[in-house]
Amino acid sequence: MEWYWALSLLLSLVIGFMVLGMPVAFAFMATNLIGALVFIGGSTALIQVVDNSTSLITRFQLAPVPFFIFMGSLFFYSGLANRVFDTLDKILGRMPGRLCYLTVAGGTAFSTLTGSSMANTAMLGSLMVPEMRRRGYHWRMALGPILGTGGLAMIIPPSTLGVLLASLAGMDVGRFLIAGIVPGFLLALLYTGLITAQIRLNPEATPQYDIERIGRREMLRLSLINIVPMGLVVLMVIGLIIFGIATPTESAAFGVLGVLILTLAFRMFSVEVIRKSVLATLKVAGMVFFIILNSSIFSQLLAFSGASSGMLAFATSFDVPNWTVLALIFCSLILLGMFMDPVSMMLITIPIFFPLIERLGIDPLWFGLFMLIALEMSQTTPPFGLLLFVMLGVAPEGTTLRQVAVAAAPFLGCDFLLILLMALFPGIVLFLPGLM
Amino acid sequence: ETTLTTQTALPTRHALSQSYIRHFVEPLNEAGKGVVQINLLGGPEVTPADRAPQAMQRGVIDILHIPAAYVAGLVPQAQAMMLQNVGIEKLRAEGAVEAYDDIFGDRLNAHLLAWSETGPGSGYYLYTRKMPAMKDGVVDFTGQSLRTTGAYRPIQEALGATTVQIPSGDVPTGLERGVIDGFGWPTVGLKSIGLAEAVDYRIEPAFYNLANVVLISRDRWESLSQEARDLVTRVARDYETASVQEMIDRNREDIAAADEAGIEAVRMEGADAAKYLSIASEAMWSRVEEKVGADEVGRLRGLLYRTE
Amino acid sequence: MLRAIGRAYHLLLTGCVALAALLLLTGIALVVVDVVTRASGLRPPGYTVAFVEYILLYFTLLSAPWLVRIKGHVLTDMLVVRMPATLRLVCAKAVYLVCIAVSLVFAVQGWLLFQEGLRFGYVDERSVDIPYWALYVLFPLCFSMIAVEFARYLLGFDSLYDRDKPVEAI
Ligand code: NA
Ligand code: NA
Repeated sequence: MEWYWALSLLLSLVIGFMVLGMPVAFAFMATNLIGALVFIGGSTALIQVVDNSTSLITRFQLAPVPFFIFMGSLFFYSGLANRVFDTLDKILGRMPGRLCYLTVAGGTAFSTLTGSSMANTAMLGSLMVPEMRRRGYHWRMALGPILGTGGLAMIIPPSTLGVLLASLAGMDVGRFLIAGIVPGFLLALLYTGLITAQIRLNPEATPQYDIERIGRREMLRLSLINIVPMGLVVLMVIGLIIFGIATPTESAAFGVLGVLILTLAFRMFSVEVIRKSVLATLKVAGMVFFIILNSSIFSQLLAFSGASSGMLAFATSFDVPNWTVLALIFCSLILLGMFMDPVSMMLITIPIFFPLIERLGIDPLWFGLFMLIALEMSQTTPPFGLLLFVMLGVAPEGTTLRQVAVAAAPFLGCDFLLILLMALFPGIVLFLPGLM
Repeated sequence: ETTLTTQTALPTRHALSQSYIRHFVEPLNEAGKGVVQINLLGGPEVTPADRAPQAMQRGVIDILHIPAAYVAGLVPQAQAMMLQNVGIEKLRAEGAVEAYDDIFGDRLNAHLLAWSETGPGSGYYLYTRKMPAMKDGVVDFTGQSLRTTGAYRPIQEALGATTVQIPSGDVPTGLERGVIDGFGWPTVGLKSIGLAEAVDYRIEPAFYNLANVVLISRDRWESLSQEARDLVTRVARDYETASVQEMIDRNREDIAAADEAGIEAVRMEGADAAKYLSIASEAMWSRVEEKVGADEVGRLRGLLYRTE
Repeated sequence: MLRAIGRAYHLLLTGCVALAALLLLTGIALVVVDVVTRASGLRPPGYTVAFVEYILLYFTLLSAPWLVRIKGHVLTDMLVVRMPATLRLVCAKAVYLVCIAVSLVFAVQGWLLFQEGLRFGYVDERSVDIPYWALYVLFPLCFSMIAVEFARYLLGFDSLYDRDKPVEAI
């Protein structure tokens, strides 16, 4: 079968099932089984699909996702979150959209420690969304900043996907990770600018509730009681990483431990709190992981049928200027990203793209970062976007995939803007690694 | 003309996959015009490495190129292939390849086409950030934490190290922050994973030998014409020999790159080196023995291991 | 009789969720213990990573049937809600049927893989060796339960597209 027929078949099946209202995971399951029968054939096809399903999900790297969701849920259901954010409200005063800025600041800081966008989004989402919702933030303003900032974790070092990308492409891992620092923080700045603009244009989207004015002394007292202990938990998690006691992946478990200790210390611990938090975690992580269980096989079918390599070969076959090649590469990454997880995408695309860009004389370090940003964006594009699914899980009941995607869209615009800036000023990427 | 599909269990740009592509896939397509062709589907994106042997067994793919250690869960004897220290000619001449062909046939219904990218001249190094202590002439890692996977655990524990399991994505941060002080890695590929800057010492000599296998399902093999089988066999033999030289060349390049990155060799020589290698090999032999029993280990030792 | 079966099934579903919850807490505890052991200079147990990896799988499988029950699996109903009622019903029934079919395929193939692992003594080599059948031991049960959950929708006990809570702005 020609690659375009294979591609059309697989894509129309999965999109068709989804449009008919089939749950995303099951749309993938059904497509995988049909696709395997077509491309592999026979009863071995079905057993191979099922056999491959357990491969991606049993990776330790995924462990922080449920751990951080559990930590965030404990924080919320115990009432600790309420105390912390109340105090923050009083300290930050009447600044509109303060929790949005707090999300960007906190998420960026956390990105310097964790290497997983999914873990970062899970933590920010379960920590912030319920509180923002309680305080009357519009869904756009609650979901968007988290989706944007969550993705920073894989651009600002450390970055699990970055390490994989560099090693698959044969680049120096250290230099590549350093190259992500400036673009990462620049992106955080762009997000801040975007939020400011969004609040200006649409002031009702963030609540304008009045808060009592308090004096310095009272401010200090409240901070000591409510913020410092939570700060200690954060410091503990950070300290474990910085002092080399635990890896970023392991530190998530200590975050849970820290919040548990706090709920005990503040007498907010109860079986009911644990029950609610565990159920919330099962709901989000169970849903996302069940999709992961079934989506990885889809990527394998795309590879097996020759659909993905055919499309990539086609997209890179034109004799056109470099910027057009990059645009075509970008479009194919975004297209693949609508249906694939980033790890599979890297495995498929790197052997095709890197020899090509080396021939064209494009700096591999620059291109690697370009790819990493495109991969980050692809996690936030429907219909298949792992970060979208995580957010959908933590968002209140009744939120639709469309709403989450709409909230993310302006932040994807920032990512795109960053790529343009990188093209105009390659120094954004290349300056820091050049110093090494 | 028949077309066989193939995949490698490592990413296609990996040095070991490149050797397979350059010395087996491409020559076979060249020599096999009109008789047999081979279509490389890709790397682990086609079937994940840990599921690829069964995919070959079931006939989902025809030919699989995979490190022998990756098959050890299904074929426990495969773990011992990295312990060979006689070289591919002797393995062929003295019946080890034949014995393993039977083993793979028995456990996976597969025919062993090639035992490739193996030693002498390949193997594994331990890399560390801290200079290890010496005890009775052999490195001693007491107090050091090394990143481990199943293949390195026996030697690392035998040398007193604390073993730490962390995902590969955490290795750079782990080294930087001191969660781990080092790790084990094949003699080829340190350059390509870009970790040369992150460590300071390489422990020499290299222990074990790399060992990859090329497997084809027996049903598929028997369905081929005699002409096609002869052709594939001939190309596979040439590939075995060429891949050994390829490993020696790659190893040299990697050492040069490591030198440039400032990695120092911590070298044991003579009797000390022999003792170090023996500790490594015996640790792995006893692991294999746990799985297949003393008799089978005795047989395998006779086939592929010589002690001076 | 029917009611007793229903009650037993409900108990099973709840049991699966409880077990998933317990596994999650165990996973967290395992990681904490591993790091603390290492930090205090002792040799950490070798099984932590392998066990946590299996916990991720089990916890996903055990919570999946319950997620079908509480309509927790993501779906897009953009088109469905705009359909005329009859068409929507037909479409919904078709979706349930496909979901039942694929779940049963997973249950059966999982059972075959479980048997294959058991018969040949295959091992999943991770930080410690785990028998291969352990990967598939929950497949027959969990995917059958998922099929049962979709059968409930098919038989009209509930609709996947009736969300009990109205769409609310955050
Ligand atoms: Na990061
Ligand atoms: Na996407």
